[in-house]
Amino acid sequence: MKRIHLILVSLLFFHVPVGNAQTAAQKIQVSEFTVTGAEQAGDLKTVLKNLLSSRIASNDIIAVDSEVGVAAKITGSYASFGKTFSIDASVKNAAGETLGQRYVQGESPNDLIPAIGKLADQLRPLLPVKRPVIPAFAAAGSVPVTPESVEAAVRVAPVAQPVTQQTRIEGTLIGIAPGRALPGKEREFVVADARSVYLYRQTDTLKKVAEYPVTAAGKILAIDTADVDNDGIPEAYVTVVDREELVSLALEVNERGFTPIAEKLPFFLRAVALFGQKRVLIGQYAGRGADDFYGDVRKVVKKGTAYSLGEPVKLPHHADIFSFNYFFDTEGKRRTVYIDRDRMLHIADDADKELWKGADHAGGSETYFLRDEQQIQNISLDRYRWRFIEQRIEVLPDGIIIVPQNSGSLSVGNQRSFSKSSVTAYAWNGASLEERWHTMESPGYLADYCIDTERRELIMLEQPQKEGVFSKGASVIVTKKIRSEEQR
Amino acid sequence: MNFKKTAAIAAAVGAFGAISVPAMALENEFHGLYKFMGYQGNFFNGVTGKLSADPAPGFMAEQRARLQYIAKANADFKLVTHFELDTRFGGKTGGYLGTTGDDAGNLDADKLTLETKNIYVDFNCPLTGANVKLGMQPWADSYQSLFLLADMTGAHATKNFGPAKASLGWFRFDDNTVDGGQVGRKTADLFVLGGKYTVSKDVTIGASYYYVNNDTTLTVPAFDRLHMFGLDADIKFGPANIKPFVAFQSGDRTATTDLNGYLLGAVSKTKAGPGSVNLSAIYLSGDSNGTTKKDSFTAITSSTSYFVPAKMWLLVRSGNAINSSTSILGNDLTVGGRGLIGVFAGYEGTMGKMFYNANLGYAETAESRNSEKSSIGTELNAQVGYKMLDNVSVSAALAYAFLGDGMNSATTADRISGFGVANADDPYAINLQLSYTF
Repeated sequence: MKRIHLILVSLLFFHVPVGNAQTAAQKIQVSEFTVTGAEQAGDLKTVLKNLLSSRIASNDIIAVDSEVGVAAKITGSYASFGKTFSIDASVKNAAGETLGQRYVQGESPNDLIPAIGKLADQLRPLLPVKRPVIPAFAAAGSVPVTPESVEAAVRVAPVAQPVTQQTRIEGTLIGIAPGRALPGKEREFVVADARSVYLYRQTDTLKKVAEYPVTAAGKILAIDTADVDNDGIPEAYVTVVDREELVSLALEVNERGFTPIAEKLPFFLRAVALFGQKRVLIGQYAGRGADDFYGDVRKVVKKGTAYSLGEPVKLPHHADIFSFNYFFDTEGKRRTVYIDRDRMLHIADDADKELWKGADHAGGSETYFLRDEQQIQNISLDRYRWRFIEQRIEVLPDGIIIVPQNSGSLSVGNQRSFSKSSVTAYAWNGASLEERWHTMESPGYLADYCIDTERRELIMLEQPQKEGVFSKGASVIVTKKIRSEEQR
Repeated sequence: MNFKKTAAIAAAVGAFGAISVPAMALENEFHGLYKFMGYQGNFFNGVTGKLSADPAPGFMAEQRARLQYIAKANADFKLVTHFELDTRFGGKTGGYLGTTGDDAGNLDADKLTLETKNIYVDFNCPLTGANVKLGMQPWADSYQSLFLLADMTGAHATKNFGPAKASLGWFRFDDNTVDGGQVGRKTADLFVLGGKYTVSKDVTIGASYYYVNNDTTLTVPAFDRLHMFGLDADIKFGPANIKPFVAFQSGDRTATTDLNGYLLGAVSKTKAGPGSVNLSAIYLSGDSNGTTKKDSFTAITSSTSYFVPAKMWLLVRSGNAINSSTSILGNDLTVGGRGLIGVFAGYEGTMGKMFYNANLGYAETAESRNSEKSSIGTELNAQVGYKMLDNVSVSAALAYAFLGDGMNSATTADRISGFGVANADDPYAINLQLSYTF
């Protein structure tokens, strides 16, 4: 029996590309829409159907008119009130069971076609489409893949579902890290905006329980938590820049809120779960002149209340402290995943040889620090050089690589104003990164995120409203469940 | 092998390195600047600084846009282009802003105003690992731009060796003179050799050697040959960041006159309260002999020398300034070869989205000629601004200079010849600014 399993797994592993090519596309029926409140309703019924059919089609999906042999049916309605319209759609499987409903809205006829595209994106994860599944990749802690678990994974989509209601937080938060492990359903988050660190606790509602402001001229670049002293309770680490000098903070997190452990630490700080294991704190000095960073990235050592940099952490040439992680490939070799300054995702080996580079932008952050370049101000664009803090990359214990992505048409040069975001999980197959799942595209900037590995939750810090001249903006913390291979 | 052959080989090697970089999908990057400035002042004649005993103050407005497009083949190879569009409200003719015709500020606009600042490739050489910039590119000296800050055609390579960084460059800023029917024989060239060494996270030291060879019959630069050696440092000491520098020049001002100048100075920025205290001082050597100027520190041109850390508006041109970038010295920091002593102090800070700075500066000539008085003046200025967005700001500034005897004495012999004006009114400037960068 074991031998049969082995053969099955081997066949699956080596024939995934063939499987991809040979998997038959699923038929989906898109019905004519019902139209209310619009002129030329008769034409619009067919137009909407055709628009959605063409946009929902993919390698896995064929939109058909007939209901014979279809895996699912999509019905929809269009309602307009003045110029505002709403398109609502429902997905049912062949047995007539409702699989989900989605809607999009628009405020003018110009929004119609983009809205149909968005609706197709939202409906696609609801469809019971069989997608080829790649075996697990991580050498350490990986989930053994059996045909049963593969089938289970096929049946379930999406894999990340919202589990909490969103609470609007006034102001634009820029970073989030998991707090202490609390009993029961209670969760604790350490979050920060540019000026203060906050402690939030969440049961049924989200409540701010403490605040710790930094110096008036200071600007928070990043917030992280790690249990550096191994006492079982993570400390909060805040990267703060004050007039071009780093004055980072170490804070104890307790019932009262925050108690400072150390101040004016001259390091950039980042907590990262290398290989998906326990989070370690790494640090790096700031550079001078044209250099943003100085020296190696090193693990941070805590002795009493004093912090120093210890063992170096090797990074590829184009990577920086904020946006990299390690994982093992199937042969147990260490690989580095990182996002470069052009927001491209890379996989590199230990010799800094690039093994793979993504075709699309990854990451994307609006948080930055400035370096004064006043000497060349007269012939350049700006007195300051802008350096953006790239998004973190997480690796789960089973080797899955989590990469966020922000996008938006208003992001040009140093003018970054992302308006859409999602988080994608990848697995390394030895030659390229393959997507395992992604969250639904969210209409807002993803400022930061973290992973609660105990609960297997993805916690996203989003900014649905930007800060403006007359607005402080708003943030939300959204928690989504990550299903393991067994659960699929 | 002479310098020119070496430069040609270096360029050829650079080009070979460039084409051996694997092709990738193009990544586009855009940056830009828009700056509006409104001036009310009494010292600017539309072209340069002009003191007057009976000035007629006027209000002028101008704008500048800079657009930068970068085409990235990959992380190791990119093309950088940078353009500029300048306009005075109401218009200005005669190529004053870098174009040959009107600047489009007149009625119905519609003029050709696009200026090219930079076009160069920037790549990491696959053979040597050096970063190479080839083409029309910006370059700044290691001395706060007192010698040269300009966009120039040339090739510049830098390479890191652990904590050390070396640079080597060649720039040509004149090849307009035909010799024997050939170009490339009577040229003005700058060769640069530099090194920086990071001693620790708080200390970087640098050394540089510049060589300028002017075979043209033109007066830019105003010398035949120049060697310049110097040292600089960037030191963090407690809350202070200090950048001292010193450089010496030797060469031939003309076929019969030597050139032996020097400069020294320091710039510091110290955290204090919610802001920073800025202090800076410079000494540019001068010569009391106005004909030979043998001991004068010499810049390439006055229009390409700056000292932005002074944070002045009138004694030294401001880093904020755009099209009408000028000082009461017409940007000649050497004051016609007399040299300059300048001391400057200020405080700058932020308060939420507000930003502010206030500065005080004094300048005098390093050497006096005949009975000229050395004092140029004392300036007071302040600026308050508000950041509407991270990259959009508005500000207002006021600057006033108390002229020294060298600039406004009623006695001709007391005045600095070529700069002072009898009984000149103290100059002032009110500046309103809107700035948007991306």
